Formats: sequence, structure tokens, C-alpha cells
Amino acid sequence: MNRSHVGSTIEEHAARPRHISWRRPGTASPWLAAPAIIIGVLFVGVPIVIVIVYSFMSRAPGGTGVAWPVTFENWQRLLFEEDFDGNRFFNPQYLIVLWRSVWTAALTTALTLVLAVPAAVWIATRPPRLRSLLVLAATIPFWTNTLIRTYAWMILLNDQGIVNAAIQAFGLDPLALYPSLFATVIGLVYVFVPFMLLPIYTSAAKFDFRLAEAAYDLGATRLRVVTRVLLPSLRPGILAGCVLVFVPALGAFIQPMLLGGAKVDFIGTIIQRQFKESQNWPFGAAISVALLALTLIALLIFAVGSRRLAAQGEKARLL
Amino acid sequence: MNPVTSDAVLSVRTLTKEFTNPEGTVFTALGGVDLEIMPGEFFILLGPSGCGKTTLLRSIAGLEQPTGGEIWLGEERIDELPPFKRKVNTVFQAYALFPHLTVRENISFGLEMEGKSPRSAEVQTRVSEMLELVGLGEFGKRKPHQLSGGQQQRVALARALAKRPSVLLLDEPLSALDLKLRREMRAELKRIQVDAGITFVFVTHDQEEAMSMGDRIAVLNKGTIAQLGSPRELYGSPVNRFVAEFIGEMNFLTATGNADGAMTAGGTHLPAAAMIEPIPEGESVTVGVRPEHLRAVDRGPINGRIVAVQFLGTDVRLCLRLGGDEEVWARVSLDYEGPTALGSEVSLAPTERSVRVVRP
Ligand SMILES: Nc1ncnc2c1ncn2[C@@H]1O[C@H](COP(=O)(O)OP(=O)(O)O)[C@@H](O)[C@H]1O
Ligand SMILES: [Mg+2]
Repeated sequence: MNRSHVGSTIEEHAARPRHISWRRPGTASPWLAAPAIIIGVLFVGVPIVIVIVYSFMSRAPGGTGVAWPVTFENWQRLLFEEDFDGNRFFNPQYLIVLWRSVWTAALTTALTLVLAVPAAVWIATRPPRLRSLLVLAATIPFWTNTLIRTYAWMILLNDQGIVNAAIQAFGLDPLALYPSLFATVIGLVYVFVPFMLLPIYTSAAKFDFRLAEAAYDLGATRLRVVTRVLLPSLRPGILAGCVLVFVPALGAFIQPMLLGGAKVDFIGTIIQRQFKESQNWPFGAAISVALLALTLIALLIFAVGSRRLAAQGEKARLL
Repeated sequence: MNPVTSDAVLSVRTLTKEFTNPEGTVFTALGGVDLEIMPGEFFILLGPSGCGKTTLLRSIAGLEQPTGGEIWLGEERIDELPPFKRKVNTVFQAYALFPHLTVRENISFGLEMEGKSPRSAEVQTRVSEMLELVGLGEFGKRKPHQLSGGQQQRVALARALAKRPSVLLLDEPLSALDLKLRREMRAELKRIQVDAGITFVFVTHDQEEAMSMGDRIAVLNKGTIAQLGSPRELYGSPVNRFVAEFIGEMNFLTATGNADGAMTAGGTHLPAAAMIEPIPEGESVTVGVRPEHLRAVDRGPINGRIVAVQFLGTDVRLCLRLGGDEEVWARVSLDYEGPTALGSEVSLAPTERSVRVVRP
């Protein structure tokens, strides 16, 4: 490019009217958000309303759908049972299932947390190229369907599976690993670990390791550096990971159904059963709404936690 | 092994540090550093970026493992202790305040690590003392992100001082502040150092900062100490060109000794009276003279045309081109009434005993 040519192009530019393709953020047309809002209302809002309405209806004669009249029967059934004489008894059966779902979800959250924190910190301290490779590796499980991955655990844990084959090779008796609650938790942890790992990794990648050096310098041992400096800095990621694991684990049904066997019910499995085998949509709807309420309570607790973090100056507002 | 008997609070003996790069090449960041730092001293490590200042400081703090040499803190050899067992503390360049803790909690952190309860009267009193010392009395409940850069810097200082270290290490603590605040903080740091009665080892690449605060300065060049001395010694008798250039300003000329002084390569005569030491006849050397030692006179030995003028408020700097494309800067006082227009002729005379032979 020669000099005179450069000069002429600059003049041409100057002659043209100035066109600035820039807009103040937040001034774009609100209609751009319309598709998402419509989809949200149509496929999230409306169905929730339908489920709530269904929970106050009666069972349809054929079993599919709902029928009149309006009734509180389904909600009562969550806590009470009626015998043939019409006497009402307190029946904790469903409360027990709800409780089991809650603590299994909590256990899953805790186990994924314990697995994810060291892994996330380890990844975050690798050289940049290896780091992106490892993060990609953490998403590999998403490439295969959850159902298939859960079937894989059935094959691994059953009486003739390789785990028991290995145990027997040492001359020990095979363990009843499958079906069981133990297998369910393994399946849940396995599926949900990436959801815990990725947000914690995001926090760990932002962690300023000079803070750890400062703590050492001030007399902190390795353990104190982890508990007093590293973990508090990972809180936003930990919080997000807990939401992403606890909430879906609470309503999970694939793992309890495939790995837990018929005896161990979870919210997810009984909801599924009401809609299929038992053909009782209104009662299924009532349990679904109960699950929704439970989820909201859990989110509320996490939200309070994140608000406390936000008060500490961390950008971690969830709700 | 016994320490070499000395009163030094911190001794560094032939300390070396080599970094091995991923390609396998070895880089010597510290090439045998010796230092004896006295109790209560404000000691400065001065050098350009990359000369190994931070590496030396981190080796003393225990955050870097030296390749060779010894570090003694009083009677104790510390170079093999983990950082949390060394009675030295660091003020980091980027402050490294804990973002999730309040100012008070940041300051009490180090005391807590000694096993003291953060709520104990002892700790709380010490924290309040430290806040007073650095002038942040009312800011104890704030989080670091609610403070300005200068305030964060003071918190970092208070946090490190709260542990009453034998030696406080400061790695370019003022470099993130603006010029005005930096100047204020120099006097402030000096006051705090005297009040706290703690030995400071202060790293900087800013010679003005070094000169204005240091009791003694070690000038570092490529991992070794080029010269160590008081600011006056370094300014008055730099041992080589690197130090002469780094501390203050200096004009360098190539000159050959003759019967009545020296003649520069460009043909300017330097009288014998201006020489600090005589140049042997016929020998070619580099000589240096500071701009403030060149006075504007009616008829002097150094004559040239003005090629640049800088008004600095307190004085005027003139750059003259002499014969043979040699250039010198002169600092003349504000009442200078000679010509300042570019191209005008000016005559300069060096003051007595102001031209020195500078070794490479
Ligand atoms: N971890 C490291 N690996 C390799 N080289 C390093 C490392 N840390 C520092 N260096 C090199 O050592 C030299 C001195 O670094 P440093 O002590 O940080 O200099 P300064 O603080 O004086 O600017 C620099 O050239 C730097 O590139
Ligand atoms: Mg440095």
C-alpha cells in the first residue's frame, strides 16, 4: 500500500456521513425478549397452573386426565388415609418418601461437593491449555444420555457385575449392591458431579492464589489456608453448584427407579407411578406441587445464603 | 552452622536462585546476593524491573525456595523453614487483602493464626492500635472493596505489622498509587516505621522513592548487588555506569586525558579542576557529569546550541548539542536569563570536582 493511496481512503471516509453502530446497553427494543417470554409463559407458567388446578380435581374414570368435582382429597391423601368405614388415620407414608428424597438429595449434594472442590481447585491451578482440556473433559458425560449412563451402573453393580466379580475374585461373598439406596446415591452423584464441578471451577479460576501466599505469610498452615481463605472464596461457586445439584436431585426419578429397586420410593418415582401404573393424575399432580413447594423452599434458603454473600461484596445474587 | 557474628537482624549470604524454564533453559534470577540488614533500619532494594527484587523478597519470606545460600534472621537460620514459621511479614504489591473479611478481620488474621482468639481483648486492642497507626480508625468494619487504593495499602501494612515481625518486607507497596498519594505515603511510611520500631526492607524501582526514604540502599542489577550504601554515597560516588544512570541523572561523554584535563570525542575541553580524579594522559575513558553541576556562564569550556528546553517549575533543563553530535543536559536555576530559544548558543562550565570517570 503506498502513501497516496492511504491518504485518499482517509479522505473518502471523512466525506461519508458518520455512522455509529453503537447503542447504549439496555436501550434495545423490549420486543427482542418477547420470544423467550412467550415460551416461558406458554411452556412453564401455564403448565404449572394446570398442575396446580389438576391437584384439586378428581380422578378420571378411565384413569387418563382429570374429572369433576373439585376436591381436597388428593392433598389429604398426602398425610391421611381412610379405611373402609371412612375413618381417617394419619399416614406418614408419603412424608417418609418426601423426607427420603430430601436427605438423599442433600447427601448427593454433599458428596458431589466433596468430590468437586479438590478437583476444581486442581484444574484451576493447571496451565491454561490443560485447564480448558480438563474442563472439556468434565463435560464428556453430557455427550451420553443419562438413561444410558444409569443403565451402565446397573450392569456394573448387579450381582454378576464387574464390581462383584472383582470381590469374588478375592474369595469374598458378593455384596447386594444393586438394587439399593446405595446404588441410587452412586447413580445420582455420578450424574450430578459435573454440575457441581463447573460452577466451583469458575470460582476457583477467579481465585487469586496470591491470597493464599498472603495467608501463609501471616502464619497460616496449609489447612488454615484452605478453610479460612480458599473455601470462603469459592462460596459463590459452591452455592450455585448446590442449587444445580440439590434441586434436580430432589425430583430425580431415573436413578431411584433403575438403581433403587421397587421397594425404595422417591418423590420422583411416586409421581411417575401415579401418572402411569396407578392412573391417578390428580394425586400425581398434588405430589408434583408438593415437590415444587419443596424446591421453592430450597431455593429460598440458597437465596438467603447468596444475599448474605452479596452483602459481603460478592457478585452472587441468585434471586 | 553458626552465624557469622554480627548485629544484623537479617543476613542474606550468597543467595542464588535459578529458574528452570519449561524448555529446560536455566535463568539466574539471583546470582549470589549478600546483605546485612541492621535492626531498625529502613533498607531499600532498588533496581529496574526484572532484576530480581521480588525473587529476593519472596526468598526471605519463604514463598520461593532459593537454589543456594543462606538466610539468617538474627540467630536463626530460616531459609529452610516454611513461610508460616518465619518471623517476617510481607506487604504485597497487589495488597492481597482477604476480600471476604472486614478490615479488622484482615488485621487480626495473622494473630488468629498464632492461636489467639479474635475476640480476645489482646487481639482487639492490637487491631485498634494498628488501625490508629495507619490512620484508619473509623474503617474497621468495612470490606476491602469499600476502600480506596491508598486505604487498602494501609490495611495491608497494618495487617503485616500486627504480627510485630522482626523484619517487614514491602514489595513496591506504593506503585499502584497516584503520584500525589505516593509522595504523601513516603513520609507516612517513614513515620510508621519509626513509630513501630520495625526493620523495613522496601523494594522499589523508583529511585526518588528510594532516595527519600532509605537509610541504606542496595542497587540490584541482573540479580547481583551493584552498589550498597547511603543515598548520599550512591548519589555522590556511583561505582559504575549502571548506578550512575539509575540514581539521579548523568551526562556521559567519552574523553581522552591530556596535560590540562581531558578532551571529549567531540572536541570539548574539560578543565583539570573539574575532574574528581585525573585522567592519565592519552587514556580514553567514559566520564560523567550531573546536569546540576553544569552552570550557564558567559564564556565556559562547554559550548553548544540548545536542542531542547524543559521548564520544571523549580528549574529549567537545557539540552545542548556540542561538537561531534555529543549532547548534554544542564539544569539551570529559574533566574537563568540566558537564551532559551532552540538553536541559540549557550556556554556551560562544570563546577569544581564534578566530572568523574565512570566504569562500565
Ligand atoms: N517463577 C518464575 N519462573 C521463571 N522465571 C521467573 C519466575 N519468577 C521470576 N522469574 C524471572 O526472574 C527475574 C526476576 O524477577 P523478579 O524478581 O520478579 O523481578 P523484579 O521484582 O525485580 O521486577 C525476571 O526476569 C523474571 O522473568
Ligand atoms: Mg517485582
